[in-house]
Parts: sequence; C-alpha cells; structure tokens
Amino acid sequence: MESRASRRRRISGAMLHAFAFGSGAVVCLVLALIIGYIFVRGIPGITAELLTTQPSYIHDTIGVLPNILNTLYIVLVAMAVVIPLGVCAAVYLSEYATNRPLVRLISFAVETLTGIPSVVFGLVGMLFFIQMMGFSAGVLSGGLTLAVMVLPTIISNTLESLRAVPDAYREGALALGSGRWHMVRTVVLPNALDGIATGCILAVGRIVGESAALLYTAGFGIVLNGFMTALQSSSATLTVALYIYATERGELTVAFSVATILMVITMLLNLATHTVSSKLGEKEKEHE
Amino acid sequence: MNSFDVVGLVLNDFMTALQSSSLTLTVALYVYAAARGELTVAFWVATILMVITMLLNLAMNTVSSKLGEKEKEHE
Repeated sequence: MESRASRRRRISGAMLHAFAFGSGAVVCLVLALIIGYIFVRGIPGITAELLTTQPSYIHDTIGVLPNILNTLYIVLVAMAVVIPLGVCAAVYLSEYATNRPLVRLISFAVETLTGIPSVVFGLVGMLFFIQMMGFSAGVLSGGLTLAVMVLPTIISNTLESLRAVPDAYREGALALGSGRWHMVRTVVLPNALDGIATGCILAVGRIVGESAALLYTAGFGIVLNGFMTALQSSSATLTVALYIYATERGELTVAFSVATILMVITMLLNLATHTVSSKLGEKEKEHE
Repeated sequence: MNSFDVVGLVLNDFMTALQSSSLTLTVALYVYAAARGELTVAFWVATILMVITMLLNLAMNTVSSKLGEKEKEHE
C-alpha cells in the first residue's frame, strides 16, 4: 500500500509538472497571439505600392520604401564601425591584455553598457554627434549611436567564442614558430567565427528593432534618399515610421503593415542566427 | 486635470498607478528631452538610470560570485 508521504510526493510532482507545462503553453500561446494578431491586421495592408513608393500628398500614396532603405543604411553604417572595433577589442582583451584589473574594469564597463537603456544612448548620441560634432540628424549620427549601443554585444559574443577556443590550438601554433598576431589571425579567429557571426546577426537584430535612440539621432524624415544624402538628412527607419504612423498620424493599418515587415525581418534574422551557428558548428566538428 | 496628469508625471500610489497614465524613468527622459526640450532634467534622469544600471550590474556580479563560492563549498 502506498504510504501517505510517497502519495504526497507523487501529487506535488504531478502538480509541478502541470505548472511547468502550463507555463510553457502560456508562453507559446502569447507568442502565437502576438504574431497572429500583427499578421492578421498587417498583411492586408502590405501591397506592392506600400513596399515600393514613398509617402506623397500629391499622389495620395503611403509607402515605406524610404524607411526600408534607411534601416538598411543604418545597419550598414553601424556594422561597418562596430565589427572591426568590437572584434579588435575582444581580441585585445582575450589574447593580449595582461593587466588583470584593467581587463576586469573593461569587462565591467562592457556589462554596464549592455544594461543602459537605449534612450540614454540616444540622448548622448544627440549631444555628442549632433551638438558637439556638428553632424545633422540622419543615418550617420543614428548609425554611429547604434554602433556604440551594440558594441558590448559584439565584444561579449566575440570574447566568449575566443575564450572557447582550446589553449592547445594556441600552444600548437606558437610551438610551430608562429607569431602572436599570426596565431590569432590563422588559428584563433577562424575557430571563433561562429560566435562572431552570431553576435553580428544579433547586433543587426537589435539595430533593426531599435527606435528610442534613433528618435533623437536619425530624425523623422520619410523622403526617399540615396545613401550619401541620407547620411546627413533626417531619415526614419522602419521602427520610427511605425511610431510616426501609429501615434502622430493615427494610421494604424500602415503601422500594422510596418510591424508585420519588422516581424518578418526579425524571424529571418533569428533563422539566420540558427543556420549560421549550426553550419559553423558542423564545420568545426568535421575539423575535429 | 493639468498637463502633468495627461502625460503621467503625477505621483500616484500603486493601486492608482495601475490604471493611470504613469511614466517610467526612460519615458520621462524622452518626454523631457524631446517634447519639453528640458535637456538638463533629461540628463539628470539619464544619470539616475546609469546609476541604477551600475548598481544592478554590481549586484549581479556580487550574487553570482557569492553563489559560485557556495557551489565550490558544496563540491
């Protein structure tokens, strides 16, 4: 006969299992509801005209092509600045820095930067790039501000993947007469490529989804510009356009269409992260 | 109702705040910097946010190192 204690244990175990299952189900349900609601309200508004034109009072059109291009421009500017800077900083911290307190201080600064709200980056970006450096609100100011914002993401991801490279690889390369930089370039960095690539894709995702920092630094312009013009002209990205259409213009249909485009981009980036990390993981296994 | 009530810059208790317009520090920063042009106040708010972030970071490091020590003791 089952004792009272074991029965109680069995019941509490079953309750915990049910609670854990329920929590998982609620998370999936909430996600499905959000995605479903945005898609149901947004997809009917996505037309070829919306994707390929710019807003015009004369032609009575609303288009998000300028916002798509501005998002792309800002991603390009930010990544062009942040990848070399972030990877080099991580390489220095991992391979060259010998002063432990300094490394700890830099790591603390990187962690703190990760936690700072994006609106603070926007404020500082506006003060530094626009007021002090004299840039106009546009892709250049926005891109540089976002580069500073995602720098910790790139540094910490690169640092993690550099530290995951076995020391035996380094020792082997040095024993064969390789210099430190040659060893980093030919042995350490290729083996840490998956972490670096994943960090870059995550950074792109953060840039695409950012709005608060760009409200101050990139402006609200929804005119179609070339890359060079957009660098110093007010250029709203997709997220800023969503804010403009939803709050200032009250065009909720367009706002939901923009939200759908952003959701699709986010899902594609997420898929890319998984694909890249699994492909590079497979390659690493082949090498071993 | 004045303009402070509308944007949610009024001091409310928890139960009232649940159903009233209530700005957090980050939104207050946006309101002061963008809508009101009060950059000095915006920077004060930014400083408070920075201090909170640093304290949280410090707390995280302390907790993880304390728990790490306990784990080592158990091993």
